[in-house]
Amino acid sequence: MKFSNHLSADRIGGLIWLTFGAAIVYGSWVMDRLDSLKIPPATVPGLVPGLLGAGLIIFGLILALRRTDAVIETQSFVVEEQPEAAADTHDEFAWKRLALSWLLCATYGGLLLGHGIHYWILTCAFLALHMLLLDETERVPARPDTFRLILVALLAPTIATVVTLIFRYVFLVRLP
Amino acid sequence: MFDGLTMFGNAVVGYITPVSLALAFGSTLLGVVAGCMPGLSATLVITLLTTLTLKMAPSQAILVLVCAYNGAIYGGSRTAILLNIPGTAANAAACLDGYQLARQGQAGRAMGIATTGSVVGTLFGLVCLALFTPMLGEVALSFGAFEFFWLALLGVVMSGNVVAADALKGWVAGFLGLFVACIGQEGMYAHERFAFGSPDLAGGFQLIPVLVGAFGFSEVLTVMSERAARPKIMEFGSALPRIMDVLRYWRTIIRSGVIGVWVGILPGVGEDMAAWSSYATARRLSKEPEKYGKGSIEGLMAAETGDNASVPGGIIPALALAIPGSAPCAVLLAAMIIHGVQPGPMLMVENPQFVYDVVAMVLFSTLGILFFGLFFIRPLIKLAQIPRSVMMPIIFVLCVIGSYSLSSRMFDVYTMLGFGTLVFLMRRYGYPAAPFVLGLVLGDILDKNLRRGLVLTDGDILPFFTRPISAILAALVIWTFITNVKTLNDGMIRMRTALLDKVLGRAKKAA
Repeated sequence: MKFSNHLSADRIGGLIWLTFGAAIVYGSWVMDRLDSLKIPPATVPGLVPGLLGAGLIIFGLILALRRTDAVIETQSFVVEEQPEAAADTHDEFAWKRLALSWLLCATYGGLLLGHGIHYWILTCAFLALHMLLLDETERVPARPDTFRLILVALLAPTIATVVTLIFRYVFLVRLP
Repeated sequence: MFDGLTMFGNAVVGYITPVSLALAFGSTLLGVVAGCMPGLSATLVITLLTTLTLKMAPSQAILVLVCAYNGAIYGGSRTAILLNIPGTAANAAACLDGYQLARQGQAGRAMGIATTGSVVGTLFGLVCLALFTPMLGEVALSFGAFEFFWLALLGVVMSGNVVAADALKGWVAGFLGLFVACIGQEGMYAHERFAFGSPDLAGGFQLIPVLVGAFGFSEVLTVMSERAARPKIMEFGSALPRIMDVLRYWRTIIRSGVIGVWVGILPGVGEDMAAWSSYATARRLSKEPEKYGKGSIEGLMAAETGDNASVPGGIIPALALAIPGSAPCAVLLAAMIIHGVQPGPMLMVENPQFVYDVVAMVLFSTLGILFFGLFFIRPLIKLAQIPRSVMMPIIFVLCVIGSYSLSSRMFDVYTMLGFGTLVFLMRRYGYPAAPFVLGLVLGDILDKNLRRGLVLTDGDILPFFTRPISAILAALVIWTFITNVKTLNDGMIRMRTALLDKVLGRAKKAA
C-alpha cells in the first residue's frame, strides 16, 4: 500500500516536472533573442534555461512512465517501513504538528513582519506561541504545564531581546 | 614547496592573535555543540553563521565558517555514541559501533576513538589540502569554458546520483537548482530572464536566503514534523584515547583518510558518503569483520576518520575549481564569494596565500576539536539535550533576520520561506536538497561557460566533445546518466547481449 502510494506520488511528481519543464522551454523559446544587438545565435539568453527545461521534461517523463520494478530497486527502503497502522497514526500527528509550525512561521515571517508591528514584540510573541503550542508531547496544540509556562515567559523575551540588540547594534541592521 | 611552507607559516602566525584564536575556538565549539544537536546539520550551521558574519573582516568570517564546519561534522559523533542518534548525517555510520560500545560500558573509550579518528582524519585531509590544491589549481589553469561547463554539469549529476536514493530525483533537484540560478539578469548581456517585470526578481534570487530556506527553514519543518525522542544518556568514563587503539589500526586510519579525502574531492558527494565508504572498506578488509556492528573499535575509527578527512577534501575543488565537494562546501564557497574571495584556477595566481590561510584555519579547528572532544564532554551532552521544540523557533527567528539582514528587504525573507517550503516538500518525496544547492551555486558557471564556449567556436558544439579533458568529463556525465536510468541501462544491456550473441554466433559458425 505504502509502496504504491510512493509510486503514484512519483507519477504525479513526474507530471509536475514535465509541465514545469515544458513551461520553461516555452518561456525560453519566446524570450528576446537580442537580434538588435547582433549577438551570435548560439548565445541567446534563453539557451541554458531552455536546455534545463528540456532536461526536466525528460526526467519528468521517465519518472511518470517508468516501470514498477525500476523503482523497487532504488526505493526498497520505502517498502520496509513500520507497520501501517502505527505509521498512519504517526503521519497524522506529524502533519498536524507540521501544519501548525508552518502556519506560525509563515504568519510571522510572511505576513506580519515588516508591516508596522515592532520587531521585538512580534518576535517575542512568535517564540512564545511556537514554544507553547508545540512541545515534546504528542498533543497538537499542546497543553503546557506551569513549568513550561514559566520557561517560555523567561525564554521568549530574553531571546527576542538578544536577537534585537545584536542585529540592531552589533550588525547595524535596520530591523523590519 | 618551500613557498607553500612559508605561506603556511605566515598564515599560522597571522592567526595567533587573541581575537582570531577566540573566534577559531569559539566557532569550533559552536560547531561541535550544533553538531551534537540532532536536527542541526553542518550546512544549516554554516548558512546561519554566514548571515551572522557578513559584517566581519573576510579572513575572520571565513575562519569562523571553516572552524564551525569542521566542528559540526565531528560533534555529531557524541550523540551517535551516547544516544544512538547521529547529530549530522555524516555520523550515521558511527552509530553502528559507537552505540554498541557505549552499551558495553565503553562510551568514554568510544568517544576517545571518535575524537582521535576525527583529528587524525582532518590532519590527513589538511596535508592533502595544502599539497593538492595548488596542483589542481595549476592543472585547472589549462581548463577553458568547455571543461568548466562539463565540470559544473558533472558536479550536479554526480551529486544527484550519489546523494539521492533515486538518481532521477537527485537530477531533477539539481536541474531545478541550475534553473533557479538562471532567474534574473544573466551575465553576458544583462538580459532579464523569467523576471516577469518584478524588480526584485530582475536581480535574481540571492544565494544566502535560498540556502537559509533550503537548509534552515526546511530543517525546522522536518524536525517539527518528527516525533521527539529523548533517550537516556549512558554513563561514560574517561575519553582519553588509548595509544594502542591508534597504533593497532594505523592501516585503517590511513586508508580511511585517503577514502575520505577522495570522496570529499568528488563534486557534491559529501561527508556522509565518505564515512560510509570508509566504514564499508574497513569492514571488507578487516581481520575481525564479525565485530562490526557489535562494537568494533576499527569500524568506529574508520567512519570518523573518513568523514572528517572529507572536510578538507571537499574544500580542495572548492578552492581550486570553484566546484564544491559537498553541500556545506557549497555554502562556504558562496560565503567566500560574498566576502570578495573568488575561488577557482586564478586563486593560486592572484591570491595563493588564501589557500594556506584556509589550511591554517582547518588546523586551528582541529586543535579545538581535540581540546573540546577530550575535556568538554559532559556540558556538550547537556546542551545536546535542549528540547527541539525550544530550539527550532529560535533557529527560525535567526533564519528570518539572517535573510533580511543581507539587503534589508522583505523579498529575501519571502524567498527564504518559499524555498524552505519547496525544499521541505521535495525532501519529503525523496528529492534531496544537496544537488539543488549545488545546482544553485554552479548555475552561473554552467550558463556562462556553455555560451562562452559557443561564442569561441562560433556555435560549433564539437569542441565540447573533442578536447581531451572535455571529452573525459563529457563521457563521465553521459556514463552517469545512462547507467543510472534503468530503462536506458536495460537497453544498453540488451544491445550488448545482442552484439555478443551476434559476434559469438558468427564465431561458432566459423568454427
